[in-house]
Amino acid sequence: MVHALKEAHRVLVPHGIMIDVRPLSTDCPLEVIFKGGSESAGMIDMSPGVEFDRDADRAIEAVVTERTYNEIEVEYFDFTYYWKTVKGMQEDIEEHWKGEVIITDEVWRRARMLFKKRLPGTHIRVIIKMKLGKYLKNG
Amino acid sequence: MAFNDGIITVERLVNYWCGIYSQMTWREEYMNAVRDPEAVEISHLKSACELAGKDILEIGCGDGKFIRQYQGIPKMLVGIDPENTDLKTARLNSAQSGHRTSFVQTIGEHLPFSSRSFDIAIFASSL
Repeated sequence: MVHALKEAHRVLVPHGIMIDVRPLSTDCPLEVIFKGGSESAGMIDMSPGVEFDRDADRAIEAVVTERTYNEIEVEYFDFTYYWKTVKGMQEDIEEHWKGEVIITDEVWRRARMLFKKRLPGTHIRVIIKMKLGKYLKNG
Repeated sequence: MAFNDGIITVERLVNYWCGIYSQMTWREEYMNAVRDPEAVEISHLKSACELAGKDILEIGCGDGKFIRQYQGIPKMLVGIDPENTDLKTARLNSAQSGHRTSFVQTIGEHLPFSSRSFDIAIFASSL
């Protein structure tokens, strides 16, 4: 990661900007939303990604400490995914996020139960925490 | 394919392939997530830095989901990723949108560009 950051430094113009935007492995709720409200089916365990978060943070810290970059600002925001069905979400998770998140059978069961109420506009929603860091190239 | 009576007509072929296509698009719609319809991610990127008129490199562009949201704004835009399959999707979608984004298969540790080539380098979920 540090090597990639230093390569980015090389190809940036003097005082160029490096942006690091990524999802954080912070547990988040799996919600069933409908017209007029929402209900949580339980939490998604994002812990499989925690070590990746730490490695990325350490890499950034290393290049800032050695003054390859100056940190300008870091902000956090919510990033949302929606699915139309529980089964669709399960298959999507299996295909694209396998091993990255842990969703217990109980959470899936509760999501299906909430979905079966068939309230108007029912969707599944997952809100993930994102981090955006802005860094200025030194030199 | 089998038409039980053995009669193949243009109309039957069209209906056959339309049926397969509608199953595919229904499955995509049913399975795939709708990702950030509120466009929050691109909104924060635009707040962080001016994109217009800049030469920008996105590192880890994947199939182009993020880069598609701001292509057409920078003066020059390049996306890199090690996965060729993803890059093919990114190139196809970019071409269909009419934007001239370049995509290069490589890794972040080896950028095949001259020094001081870009104003902004974006690590998009790739660190």
